[in-house]
Amino acid sequence: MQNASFIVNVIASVAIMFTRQSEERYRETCRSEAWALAREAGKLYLGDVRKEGLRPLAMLEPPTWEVRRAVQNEVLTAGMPFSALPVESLYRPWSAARGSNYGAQRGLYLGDAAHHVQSIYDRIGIEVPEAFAASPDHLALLLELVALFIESGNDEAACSVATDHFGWLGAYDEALETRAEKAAAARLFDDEKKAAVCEGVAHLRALVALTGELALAVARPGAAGFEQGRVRGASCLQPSNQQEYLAVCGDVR
Amino acid sequence: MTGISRRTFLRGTAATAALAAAAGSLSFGAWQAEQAHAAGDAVEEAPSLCNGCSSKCGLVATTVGGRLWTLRGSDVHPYAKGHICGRGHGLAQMAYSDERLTSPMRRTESGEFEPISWDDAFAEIGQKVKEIIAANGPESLAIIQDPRPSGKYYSKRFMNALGSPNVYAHSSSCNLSKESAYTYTIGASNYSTDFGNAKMVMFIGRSYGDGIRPSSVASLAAAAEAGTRIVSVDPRLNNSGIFSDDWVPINPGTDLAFLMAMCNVLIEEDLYDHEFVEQNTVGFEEFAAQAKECTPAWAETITDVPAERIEELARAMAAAAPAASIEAGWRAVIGCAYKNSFDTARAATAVNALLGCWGQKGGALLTSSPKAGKLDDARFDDPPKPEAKAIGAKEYPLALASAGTNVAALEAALDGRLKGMFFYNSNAAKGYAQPKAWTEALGKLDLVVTIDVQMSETALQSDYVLPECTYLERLELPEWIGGKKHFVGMRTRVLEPIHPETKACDEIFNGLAEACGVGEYFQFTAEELAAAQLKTVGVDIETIKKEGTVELADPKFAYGTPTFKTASGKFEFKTDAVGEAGLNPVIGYVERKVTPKVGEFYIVGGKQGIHSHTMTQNIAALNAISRQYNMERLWMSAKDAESLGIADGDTVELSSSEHTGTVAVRVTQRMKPGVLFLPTHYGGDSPYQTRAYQYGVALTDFIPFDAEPGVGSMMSQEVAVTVTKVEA
Repeated sequence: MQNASFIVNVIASVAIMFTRQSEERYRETCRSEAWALAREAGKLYLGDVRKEGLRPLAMLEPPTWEVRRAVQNEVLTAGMPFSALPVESLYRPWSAARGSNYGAQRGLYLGDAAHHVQSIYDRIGIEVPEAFAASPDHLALLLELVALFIESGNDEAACSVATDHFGWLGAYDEALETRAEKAAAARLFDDEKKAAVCEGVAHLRALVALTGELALAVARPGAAGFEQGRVRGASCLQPSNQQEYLAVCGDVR
Repeated sequence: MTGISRRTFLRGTAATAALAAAAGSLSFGAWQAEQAHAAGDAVEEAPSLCNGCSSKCGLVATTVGGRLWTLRGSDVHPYAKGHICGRGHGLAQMAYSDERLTSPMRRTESGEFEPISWDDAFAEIGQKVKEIIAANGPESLAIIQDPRPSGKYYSKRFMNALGSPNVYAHSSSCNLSKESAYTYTIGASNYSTDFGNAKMVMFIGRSYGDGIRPSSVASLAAAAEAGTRIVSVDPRLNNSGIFSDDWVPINPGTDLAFLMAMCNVLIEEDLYDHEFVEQNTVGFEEFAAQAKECTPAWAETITDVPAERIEELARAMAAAAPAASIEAGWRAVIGCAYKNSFDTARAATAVNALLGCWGQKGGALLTSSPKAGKLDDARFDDPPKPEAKAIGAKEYPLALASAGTNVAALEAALDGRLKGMFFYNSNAAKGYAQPKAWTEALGKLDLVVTIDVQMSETALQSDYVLPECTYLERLELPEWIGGKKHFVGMRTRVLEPIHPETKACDEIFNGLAEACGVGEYFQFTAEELAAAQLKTVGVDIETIKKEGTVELADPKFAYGTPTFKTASGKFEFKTDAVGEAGLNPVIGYVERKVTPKVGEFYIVGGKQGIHSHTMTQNIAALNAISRQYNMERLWMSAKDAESLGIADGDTVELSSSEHTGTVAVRVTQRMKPGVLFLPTHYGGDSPYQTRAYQYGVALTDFIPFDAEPGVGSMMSQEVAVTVTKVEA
């Protein structure tokens, strides 16, 4: 029997992997008990998941610091040639509101998604760190928001956030896949760097796949089995069907 | 659980009760409905000046809940008159772009970039600047900037505070030849056309429909509508063609021969304004002697414009005078393209002198410009003027002193005189002169620092890249606008900074100055200086923050022969200083340097209406338009295409002495046979700009590294190219 604490702890260890970390922090994350839980979640959720050329479960194990450093600098840093930041607004039309000159544009920060989650933070008294001022809809923050609601027993709110804010993961996964392909052919990189970026991206994609499963578990009708802050593990951890998955997460698989 | 906190990022007062109470109304759908209902309450307007090109048109931005929503042209600003162009609309979205620089970057020994803090960036740059000054003197430092209201002020102040006179604008790749030439002939770097009263206007290569300033396009359209005869001398039927009565396709770089032949007709047929020439010019006799040789028949052999057409145009201009003039031009043929651009510009003003149209109704006007008065706050006092002359002042003495020639800076970086360079809002390494020369030069320097909003080709080759916030996120110094009426405009902060680790121009230079040991000259903000400057002309900064553009006291423009602020006080057909620089002191014919041989083509470049050099090519919406309409294509005449067996859309290999690239062809009747046209926005080399990267080809890659004698312009079209069809 799994419980809410399990989900929350997995989210904590997964969330930080979508941000830049110091070497010390990264090694600490990989050693932590929480990561052991993430590994367990991977087995539960990703055992049967396959994607062309990628088996997420196999790539979920954190890579070496050298690989992690390469992917942090080249993919998780804004403005770089192979940047693919996990920020929801960048993968959605900027705004659905009427009258905006820029509403249909993609690839822009602070779209509707960002403003929606910011309104939630404001409402519950949460401060967004200054480093995330342009990206309150960063995947790491979205995951922590879901975890917050789960911890407080507000299954409905957790389900709402999971339903509304994870549908772009398929587009993000595609972006990562494209970056890996381009990095593999980049004139800028030597073979070692190419291999590091590709391995690092594969790990990110495994994390995205796991994130999609977590979001789906939380977003399932009936609060995915949350009762009294606990998860009815078996039911929520059943592999989801494709239609259900697409509705929440997009085509991550 | 151990080893890691459950919440790394989200902190605050979130109480369990609040979290628990937050219920279904949190949904995205509910929020959208709420926003739609409340949108009207959060609408605000704020003014700024566009950054899409150097026109800096006034605009008004509408924000909804603090987010940029729409832009429109300022009704007051004389360049906008209620409109902004496509590039202005597109550029604004840079504020939210995913390809902006969001933190300072340092290039590591392995060549990679890594984010660093501002404190570290300032400290390391300051240390290196001090080392360079100690070892080589302050004259071994230089800055190049593409002028913006704050940037041009802070760039110069920073360099001068360090003790270096080496401050350069972008001009050698833009309008340096024109501005320098006009300064010698008419005593001003520019003039305007009195379209509202003109009977005939001739454009030499310039196209308002491509390098758009909305008010200029409106003036041209109104003049055309009113029956003004508009003549376009250009090897390409450009996008102002819909307003033109005459298209005069001419061999590129031979406009000087065309203009001298116009002068020949005006003088030999006694069609010129004797009174103006006798009372307001110097050097006419020597000029007339040189023009005598430049007959229309002679010009026809050079320009490929029939002699009869030259004669007809000259006679028509004379008949329309003084309400007829050559328009002032800007870049390319008259600005920086050829060995004879300086003299081509001088000759254009000579035609106007012969027509007697200077200052006349419907003619060419010299108007005044406003400026700030003297400031009484000692913080704003200028740093001591550097003792040394700027690099290039000796080699290129005719270059407008306020612009200098950055080609000289490039030469000095190559030969080791310069050790450190700063770039502000300038993609010199791609847009100014041969990129390979820049790459070699930047590689030799001990320190290269670029301040920009995106990772340009220049930034890519820098040691440090300092991210500026976009123009909508910053207040800048006032921009003074001259003309028949005087105005002052100013950028205000329309949006709160989107990325916290970006800074405005004044903050960056203040930080650099402090780190370099000259912080004493930077003890104020741009807003404080702006307020002081505006106060001298009776404008309160709070007023301009609200209105954006304010009309100043009426300068009381009046038609009539203007005062020429030249050495002689008159229009100069002959200038001794030009002779002292080794050029013909008298306006006369100079051949272009490179003439295509059989099988080779002339090539010309130019702007498109939605782009501004390389700056806008990575803007998502503008790049998408380019790709939608294949705007990167090389234009070729239908006649040439047929003879080479090339069809519209075919790919060709384009080659010069410097470079070979492949590009698709646009086959058109709008090109003079023997000439190719390449839009000058494409062929990006920075992989950091993913939309622009390797899309199309860049004209600068094909141009030899060279400089126009006396002036130092880049000679951006002195090259011959070949075209070979790439078989599928």
